[in-house]
Amino acid sequence: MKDLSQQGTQTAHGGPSFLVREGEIVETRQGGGYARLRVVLAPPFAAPMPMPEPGQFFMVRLPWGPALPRALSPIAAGDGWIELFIKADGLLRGEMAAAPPGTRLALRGPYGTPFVRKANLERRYVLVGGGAGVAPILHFAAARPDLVASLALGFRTPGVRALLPGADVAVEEEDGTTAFGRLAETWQDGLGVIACGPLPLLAAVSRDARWSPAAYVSLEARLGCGFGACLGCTIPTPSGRKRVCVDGPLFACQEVPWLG
Amino acid sequence: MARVDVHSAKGSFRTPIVLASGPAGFGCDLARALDFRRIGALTTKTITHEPREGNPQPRIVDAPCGALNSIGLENPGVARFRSEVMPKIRALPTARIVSIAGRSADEVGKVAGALEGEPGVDWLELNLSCPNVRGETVADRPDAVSEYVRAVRAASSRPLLAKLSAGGGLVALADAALRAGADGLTLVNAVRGLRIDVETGKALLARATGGLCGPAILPIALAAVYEARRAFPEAFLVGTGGVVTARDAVEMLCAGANLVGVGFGVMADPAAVFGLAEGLERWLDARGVADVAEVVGAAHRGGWRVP
Repeated sequence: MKDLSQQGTQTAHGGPSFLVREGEIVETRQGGGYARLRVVLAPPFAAPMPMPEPGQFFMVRLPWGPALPRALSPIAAGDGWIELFIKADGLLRGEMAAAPPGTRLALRGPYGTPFVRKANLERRYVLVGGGAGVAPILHFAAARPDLVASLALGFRTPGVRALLPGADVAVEEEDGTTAFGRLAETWQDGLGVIACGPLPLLAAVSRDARWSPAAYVSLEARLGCGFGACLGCTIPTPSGRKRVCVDGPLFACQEVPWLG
Repeated sequence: MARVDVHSAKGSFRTPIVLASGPAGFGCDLARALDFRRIGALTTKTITHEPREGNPQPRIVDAPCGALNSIGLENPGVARFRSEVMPKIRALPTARIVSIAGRSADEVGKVAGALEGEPGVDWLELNLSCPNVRGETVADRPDAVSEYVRAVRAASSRPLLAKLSAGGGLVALADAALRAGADGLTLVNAVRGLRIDVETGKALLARATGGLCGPAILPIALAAVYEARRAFPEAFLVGTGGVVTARDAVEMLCAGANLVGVGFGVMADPAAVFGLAEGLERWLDARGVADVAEVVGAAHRGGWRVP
């Protein structure tokens, strides 16, 4: 595992990988409009595959589908496998969520800058995840417990709980609590915030002066190529235009003042 | 092994596979891991006189059998392109087609003029048909096409392609471009399209409409190339639109393209694009065709099997 994670680091900084690897969906669980897929990477490619660090993503598609691949950050990853957590809608994700075990996926990556290369590591964080945005948040929480003060995860409907065993999830439909509400309850002076989820959640996080100097948001722009060439995902920042796929997906709130 | 090198009066290409303007950026990211000797030419992102920020997010959405994009010609402007980008792409072992555009004939002339002394600019491609910028789609008026092409021709000695969109009046527009001094045509640009989020009733792209690319437009591009080849038997044609496999590339060649551009495919699976030339060689070998030139325009003469 150690070797694999080092390869992931090299990929992030030594240049992108364009190798398309095959993965097989071995288990799918559905609930609350979401799906959690366990994907085993095909044996010939399992060994040399750089494993994704939290915050990195794969460009994923069905091998036969004439659609652009979708950028997906794993919710968990290990030796030769990853787990994806996706909203079961859209052309590609809907088909992926409904696919029977044995279905093959084509994966390219990992791409993107790992969270730990952007966040200040002198600090501990409240990790905020809304909807499919909980995926990189839980991956990060498992990989770097030393950086985590608490978790604030939220969904609209309760059906998703079965897909997130052991996670304490706020459900707005049940009692009005949200990921943002949990953040506001648990945040204390000195803690930072790392958030991933829908734009309104990220906007609310970045607007709040209590933590915004130490807050980061992981943006979910629709990507084209995933490796920095097509400029489908560029955003304005005070230091010029940045590409979400290469310079992000994590950005300090000061880098994206337009968000709030 | 079949020959796949392509020769025209204005230049040669190692393979007929060309990276179309846009998805490949300036090729630098791809060049870190992929072999540009398998690519006939890199077409750069479109360069304008001043830097442009492009359109707001979202700029890309899915579409059945393709994608809608709305980048809006984000680029560093011709001065920074020359100082920062050209030094990198000059070293790539392939031909370079620099795509240019502007809001007026005067602007495209200035961009072409600024590139005139630049080593490594092998061809220019005048983008007359970007669907994602306001007031710059001049490719529906033959007089405007003629004016823009003449402005570039006056400012530049480089071989010049005029990039047009599919649709009515193609032959008249192509005729205007060729008469004004273009050395060839790139057909087609992304096709204007729209998608709507039914949950909100709003357009999915920030700028509402975008350009449809991907396999959805392959038949449209094939028809445009076919029509242009029939009207201009000697013209140099780059067929672009929806090609993702070697088989698609063969179709484009048979329709009459000399070169085959790939855009969407670079986003879907870039390594596969760099394997297209080999796939094409294998396709030709399997059928005993010695030179790719034998299939170019085959659809106009009863097929490639006829001697």
